[in-house]
Amino acid sequence: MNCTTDNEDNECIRRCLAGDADAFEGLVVRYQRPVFNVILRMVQNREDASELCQSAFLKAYLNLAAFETGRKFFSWICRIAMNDSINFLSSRRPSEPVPADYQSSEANPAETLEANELKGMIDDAIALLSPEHRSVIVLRHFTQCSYEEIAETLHIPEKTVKSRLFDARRTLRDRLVARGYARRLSHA
Amino acid sequence: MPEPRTFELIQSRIDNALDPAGRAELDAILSSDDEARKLDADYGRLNELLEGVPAEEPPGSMVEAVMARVRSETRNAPVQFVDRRSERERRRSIVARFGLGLAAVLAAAFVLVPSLRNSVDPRHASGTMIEQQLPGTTREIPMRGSQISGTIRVTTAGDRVALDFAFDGEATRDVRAAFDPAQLSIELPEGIAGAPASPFGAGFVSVEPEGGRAALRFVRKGEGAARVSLSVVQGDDFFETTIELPK
Repeated sequence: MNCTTDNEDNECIRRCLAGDADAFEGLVVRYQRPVFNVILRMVQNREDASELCQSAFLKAYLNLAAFETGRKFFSWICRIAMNDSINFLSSRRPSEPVPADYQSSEANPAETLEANELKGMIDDAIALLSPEHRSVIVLRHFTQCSYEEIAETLHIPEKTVKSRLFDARRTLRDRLVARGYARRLSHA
Repeated sequence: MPEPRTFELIQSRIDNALDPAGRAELDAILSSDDEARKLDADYGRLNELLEGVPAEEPPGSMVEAVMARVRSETRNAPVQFVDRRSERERRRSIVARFGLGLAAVLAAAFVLVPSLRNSVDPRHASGTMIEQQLPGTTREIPMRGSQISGTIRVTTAGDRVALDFAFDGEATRDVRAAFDPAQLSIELPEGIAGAPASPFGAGFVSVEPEGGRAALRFVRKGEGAARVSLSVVQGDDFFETTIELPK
């Protein structure tokens, strides 16, 4: 996020705090896609992600007075989204299978079997990560956050971000190899 | 098996977080270690797989749905954005004055009414409203977040509802409650200068716990069901719940 975006965010927040609720729409428009994708990768269900995404924005609005200007709004709402996603995953019974039903509503009919297989194997492997590991993978690879931004979002030291990320990738790699995807990893 | 340092260097390179010295160190390792080269290829491919997963579009109605909820929330219980610093100082002042006043009353009652001395549980003798319990039905709701931990004790007795918050550990927190003023009225201590009986008639109240404790008192209006939506904020952590109060 650049300075212009940060300034625009701060202006929206200032107007909301002054009582102009409609100013919040600018923030929703700007961040709905990344926030939705963060939640979707965490909970892996479009319907749940949609509900959690709405709830995260509403929560952000109701708590705007707690937002510290100088911080990035995206990091802040990501933090809310992550917490809600982790709470949602925790409330799911351990034996409950994780649905991976977030096929895009605009799926390309020409999408190849291999592409689906690829997506499926990544989904399966990510779904088996712990919420802590999953959150760093999602922020790093699906929102392109830096170590510093992940640390700010999750309120953990950068050192912890790196160690969790490295552990998560190692687990992913091992899991994919164990599931018979060694061909893809080792002979690409 | 490659050394842990090799794993670290390979992954740092994937994240574009490797300085020139680290890059040179990794190149040296890769030039002489077959296993390290295979590992490097694996992580490179894994990165490609992860980066290759396309972003999904949110539902087309997302913005409208969020804004409808925002407007509904604002309409039902107008959100009062306040200067947090001045509000916090004001609340501290109210709590301090209320605590002193109640402590004085309890101390006087304790001295003047002998039977009271025998009935007071020493653990609850701090003389604050927080420890005051209503006789009636009590249930406890756990509060759990990444930072937030504690319980809410919900006590209902007749038309009175008490919410007592007990947090684990010391931290700055806000407890916020939204309610329908047609169903409930908030009851704040009376006789305290600067604290009118019901300054939050809009259906929203925010209190800052002192010593990990906070209390909210409500009085029902009428016979119908009521609900209180609670939000606890600690840093960037949130805990939310809705307490249903049946008829």
